[in-house]
Amino acid sequence: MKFLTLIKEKIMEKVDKKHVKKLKPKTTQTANFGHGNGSNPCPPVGGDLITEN
Amino acid sequence: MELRRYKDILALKSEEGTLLAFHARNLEVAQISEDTWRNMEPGSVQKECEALEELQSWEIENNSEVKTSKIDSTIRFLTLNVTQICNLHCNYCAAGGDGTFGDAIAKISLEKTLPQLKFFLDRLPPKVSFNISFLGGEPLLYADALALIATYVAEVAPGRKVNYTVITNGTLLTDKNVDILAAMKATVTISLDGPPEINDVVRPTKNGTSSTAMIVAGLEKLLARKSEFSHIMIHGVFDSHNMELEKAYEFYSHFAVDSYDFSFSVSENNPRATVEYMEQMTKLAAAAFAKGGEGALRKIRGFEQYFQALDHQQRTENHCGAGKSFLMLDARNRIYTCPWDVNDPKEQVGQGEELNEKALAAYQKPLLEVNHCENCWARFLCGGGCMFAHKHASGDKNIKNSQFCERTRFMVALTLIYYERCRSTA
Repeated sequence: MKFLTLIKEKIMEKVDKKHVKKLKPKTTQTANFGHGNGSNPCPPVGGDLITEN
Repeated sequence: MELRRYKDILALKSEEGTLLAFHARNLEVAQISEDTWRNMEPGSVQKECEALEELQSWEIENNSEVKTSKIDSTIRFLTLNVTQICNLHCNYCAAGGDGTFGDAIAKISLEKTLPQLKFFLDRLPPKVSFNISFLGGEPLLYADALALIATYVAEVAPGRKVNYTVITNGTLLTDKNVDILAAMKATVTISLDGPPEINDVVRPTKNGTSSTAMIVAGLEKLLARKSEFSHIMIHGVFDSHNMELEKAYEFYSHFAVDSYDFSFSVSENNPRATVEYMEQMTKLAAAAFAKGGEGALRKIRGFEQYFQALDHQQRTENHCGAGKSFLMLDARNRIYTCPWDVNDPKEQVGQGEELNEKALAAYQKPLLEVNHCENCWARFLCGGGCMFAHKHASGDKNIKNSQFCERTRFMVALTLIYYERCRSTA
């Protein structure tokens, strides 16, 4: 049953994503958001700074 | 590349013919079919079909995983001019043309600065890190101040994580100064605009002699002790006098630094320079990707920033934290919201330990909102743009500099092409 569900999901996935196939983001790297999260981009601070909030 | 738009979806066809699309609100990237691309042709009559249905269905989706980055009004980032003099005379200097901002001061008063720093540290909630950048002028002309400030901060805020960044022209990296930076475990940004034949023309010393040999010697000294620093970056500024990004990249590649940055000068408004910059960034991306794939591309700060936002689906609602989480302190302890506003009385928002809360209140709304970016497809990766660049072009920091917007959208589109290449093979 589980196998059938998996097959069904795979088939649906193919049907659903015929024209728009979303790419999976890769989040293995540490998030290290810089200026958009509040620091100052100008002049740039290398390897910008992690913010905890 | 060719771009097409359907509401909040941007579709893009690269020079190689790759088709991809970007969902502006959800920060999602997808490969799309030829049918989808055709349906997005400007002026085309959209017929009911599977491709259009899929596109419409995707457009109305709201991804609950997407994070916003609304900034609270806690000052966590300060940039400090410990001096407002410089030993170089760069031909594009945004600090008054000579590093002084029109107000030459050799040394900041530590008697005034230390309590000023304590004032900001005391206002900070527990467990929030604090970040101090040293700019100038050339901060290493008064390197002792950096050491004294770091010692003082450690004394008055012992449990607080404090990150230090020093933006230097790299000509004064003596053993003593390198020791000071290492003791602070600083992030060091070295300004260098290319190989000697270029850098010496755009970044000469005050007496007109070469600065590159000194910078290279300093860089090598830093790199010999790389593990003692948080991050080492080479930063080049490019404008109509120098748009040789490829040559700069080739030269930078000789140094094992952590990252490179290729900034477009904040005070450049020549449209031809914008076109050249975009052409150069295209070549640069191709060269980096051919050299080392995603890793090499992401060593370049502009690309890294967008890759991170796409991977973590993190919206940017403010290009920077000016007036919200970031303030600038000049060498007279005057407070501004932007480094380039120093010595402009109209832009001053405080002095010493006094903040003009009324003036700062004007900065608290998200830049995307005040700059009216709601119809731009790149808005959540840009954050409304640089207020100084806007003001320099339009006279108003909230009326956008169209060239800035054009460059940003181009950089985002270029990143999307490489993002698709990297994530489609993952």
